[in-house]
Amino acid sequence: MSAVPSLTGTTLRERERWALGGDGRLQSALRRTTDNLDGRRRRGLDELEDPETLRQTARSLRTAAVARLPELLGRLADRVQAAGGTVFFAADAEEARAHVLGICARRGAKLAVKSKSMVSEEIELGARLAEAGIEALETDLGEWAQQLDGEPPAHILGPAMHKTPADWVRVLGTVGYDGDESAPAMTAFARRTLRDKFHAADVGITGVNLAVAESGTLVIVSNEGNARMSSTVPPVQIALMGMERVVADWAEADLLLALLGRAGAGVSFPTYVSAITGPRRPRERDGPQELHLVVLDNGRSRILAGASREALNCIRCGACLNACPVYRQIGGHAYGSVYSGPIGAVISPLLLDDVPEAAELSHASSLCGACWAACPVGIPLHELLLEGRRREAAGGGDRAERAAWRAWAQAWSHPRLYGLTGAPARARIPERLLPPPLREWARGRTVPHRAGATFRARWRRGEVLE
Amino acid sequence: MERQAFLAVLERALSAAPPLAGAHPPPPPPDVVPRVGWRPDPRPLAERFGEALRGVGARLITVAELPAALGELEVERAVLTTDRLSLPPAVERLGLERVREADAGVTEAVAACAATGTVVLAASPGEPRAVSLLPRVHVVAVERDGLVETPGDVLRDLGGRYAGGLPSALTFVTGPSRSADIGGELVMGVHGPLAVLVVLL
Repeated sequence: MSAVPSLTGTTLRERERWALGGDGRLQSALRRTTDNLDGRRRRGLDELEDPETLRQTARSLRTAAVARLPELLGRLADRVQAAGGTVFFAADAEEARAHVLGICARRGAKLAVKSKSMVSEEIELGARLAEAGIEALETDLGEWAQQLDGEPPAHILGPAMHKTPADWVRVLGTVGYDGDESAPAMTAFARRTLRDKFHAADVGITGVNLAVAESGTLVIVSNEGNARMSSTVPPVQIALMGMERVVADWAEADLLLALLGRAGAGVSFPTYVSAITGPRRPRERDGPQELHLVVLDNGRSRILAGASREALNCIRCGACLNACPVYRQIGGHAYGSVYSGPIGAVISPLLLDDVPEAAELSHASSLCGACWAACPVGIPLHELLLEGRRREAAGGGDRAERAAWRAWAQAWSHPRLYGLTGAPARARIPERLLPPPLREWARGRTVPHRAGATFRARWRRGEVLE
Repeated sequence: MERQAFLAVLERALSAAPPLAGAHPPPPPPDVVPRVGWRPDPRPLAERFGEALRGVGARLITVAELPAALGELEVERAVLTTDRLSLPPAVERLGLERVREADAGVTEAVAACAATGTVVLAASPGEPRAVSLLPRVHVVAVERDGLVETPGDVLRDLGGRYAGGLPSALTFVTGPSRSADIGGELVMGVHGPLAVLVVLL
């Protein structure tokens, strides 16, 4: 496939064509990964006594936490500082990048190891560090492959899920791998190569899955162990979190971790859950000497101020991606933004309000509600997608389309005019003769052909039984 | 941005926020967060623990089985942070400063969860984080008294267990380090240990 298209300068339709126009390898990889993860999610929830009640409770808890964000963030910051860490509140991506860069410069850093962080992708931290002469190395296997290949991640949990073993051999070949397509051999190579980097790193950069206000603890989840490495070996840890990631206490954290592991990877509990409270203590031999937390707004307060603020309840498990019939066909890159799938289609237009191309992302959905059914915290994503479309229409939209809908609304408000609209539908116009907007609509859809007579005609003839 | 200004932006956003989109807004949360209920399992905790460990690719062994298990994994050098377990004579004991050269790290857990096969490690001056992380084999001792049902039993009690403040790092370990990033094939041993041996004392 050709290079991953960017959001700016392209339409959703064009990016979908790009994703669907390949040799089918993307779709078969998508099917394998999403079926596997979605099946595991269902089995994981089966272990629990009453998963639906837990899900509804999680929804209420997250909504309540988001409604008291200022209080919870204030407490979190107090406790993190009391434990010896620093806290920086970044209004936007530039403030966050500048702060991270400042820490790196003060430490004279040359190499930063990164464990998976969606926020770091969102603020394009890697590119900025590279400009400053600091190597920012991804250490999650999938993220590393994507970085070596010059591509953004394609899925929250499986950033390189579309790569075949042959692709992996090619990509790892650029850093010295000369073995075969065996996954264990390639993993062992990655372990050796990245282990040296961890030991050489000046800074470890991590994300934050949950931050517990009660104790000032950062909870970071990983299966490979790179988050543990990044928070153990380098002398400085910088943790990046979206401001909505805070929870009040450990009971809430317990519930969300139980749901996160199951919804994301279908495991009863993630392999590694690190709960970090401040930097290393006196006389401890390892752990970072400095712990810096960056709390990011970057458009989230805009979401908080609107009707779609339930989107801030998201715990970034990826379940809605796996369940979505659109994601399952086009994959993450076609969305053109860091956050893909249904949750991405909801939040990207709001986060990227200065990018006009992002507005139409709410159309990357069939509104079937599979995302909502899969969401472990019960976000009504299909309703938020509809809200996104409403907002887009209110903000302008296509003038001809609006006029057409207005005419339709008029016609169907009057019985006589309504009767007339039956006539064109009876005409059985071939798709290729439809006017261009309808032809575009008919692409990928079956144009409905009615039975012989309208309901109204059959009613008049007395053919409709009471 | 200054903390006060940042939080003031959020206060303003919340005070002006319209009702939630969607037909069914969530009810207020319960006063007490419900426990994560597992399907009831009448078997003894140790038996369930062993089964859960096997399920995540780890092993539950006895003290007597430790020398053979270390032999199978070709462990020649190890670091120890606990005196609850001893190494067989064939295994050289390294000082903590040489943890990078060790094949195995031997530590003690502060708790373990039967339902998930999770061991809970707490960092301290005597229990560095690297010992359970860098060597390719992790041997962990668990007191029978420290065995509880679920991670929630530990997580919800952290405030009580550590009334004076949490350790700098608490790590919940459930099996060996793993990845399925390459072609969807599950491989053990990415950045952390590729084998986890749990000894119930």
